Amino acid sequence: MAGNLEFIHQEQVQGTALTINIENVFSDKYDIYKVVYSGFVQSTNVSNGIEGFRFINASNSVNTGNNYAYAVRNMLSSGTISISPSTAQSYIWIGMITDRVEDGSTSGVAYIYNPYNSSTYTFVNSQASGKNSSEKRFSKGMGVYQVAERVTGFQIVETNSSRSFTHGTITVYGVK
Amino acid sequence: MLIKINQEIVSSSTSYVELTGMTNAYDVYLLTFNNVTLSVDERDLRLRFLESGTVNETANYDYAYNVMDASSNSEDPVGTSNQTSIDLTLNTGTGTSEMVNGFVYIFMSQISSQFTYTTMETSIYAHTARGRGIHGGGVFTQQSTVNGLRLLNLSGANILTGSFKLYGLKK
Repeated sequence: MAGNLEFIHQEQVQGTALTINIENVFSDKYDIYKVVYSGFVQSTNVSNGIEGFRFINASNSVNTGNNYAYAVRNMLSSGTISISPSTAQSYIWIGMITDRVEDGSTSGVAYIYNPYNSSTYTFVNSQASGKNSSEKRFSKGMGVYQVAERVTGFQIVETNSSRSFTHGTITVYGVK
Repeated sequence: MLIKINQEIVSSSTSYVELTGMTNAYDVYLLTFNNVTLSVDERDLRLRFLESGTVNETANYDYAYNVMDASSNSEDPVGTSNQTSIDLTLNTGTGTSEMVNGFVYIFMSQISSQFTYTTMETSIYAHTARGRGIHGGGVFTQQSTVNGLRLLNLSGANILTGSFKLYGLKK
């Protein structure tokens, strides 16, 4: 029986950007997608998190409404373990923390379920590893985009205008 | 590289799903499931293994997981031994969009002198419309060779929908 982890798309951060839109990567060919991101850094010396994922519908519109829920388990190298839960958010946090290139970066994997099915919500499982100048953090999380619509892509978003992305690679695979 | 071994697409009520075809061609297997709904609220999807085509229903399954809940800081850790299956989810619902998605990695299943080990992660829209997930692992404490798996509920719920796929990780 044929089957595979099939490459769909790869994109690198070019210049500086607060949002990175990965469009038209989800289709009826797959139910589950694997998104690998690596080496994400920002332009300023910060010790903060990146908001995370928003989804793009078939009209190529990014949903910025409060339609997202998530829970992320944070595991810090200091030994602190905690959970970050949230409902009615405008993004799904996937545990990304980073810094300027001298001080750290973040990489990880997210699995996305059912995005192209217009009658179901879209679900996420995430795993992240990252470092900034104040901590090293590892995380596992779940998220739900609570709109039943056809989702064709996603956005990685940072809402603080002084923290543009300067480096990073995103690769999307379909789980056939 | 993933090689698909078997799949089952459920679109009408069934008491269980079986995926067979696990052989020593692969050391590690991946089970994925999405769009899974059960017929009764507050149930869970569970995993058993097959040996020579026969499901093992004995109390030889241990597992532990932590819960992530979008509405709560509660972790609700679960750890238990000598069960008759491994729990993969919790609090399934029959309401709008309530469903289960996730994946399980399966290790050591082809070494007859060893136990079979699993890790799992799920993303759930649970009963009463809650975003939830679990991550954890399990052990099938039987020294045997596994050739398949069964997914089911133990409390009278049927599987109504779902896509279940079993992959081998190419050596």
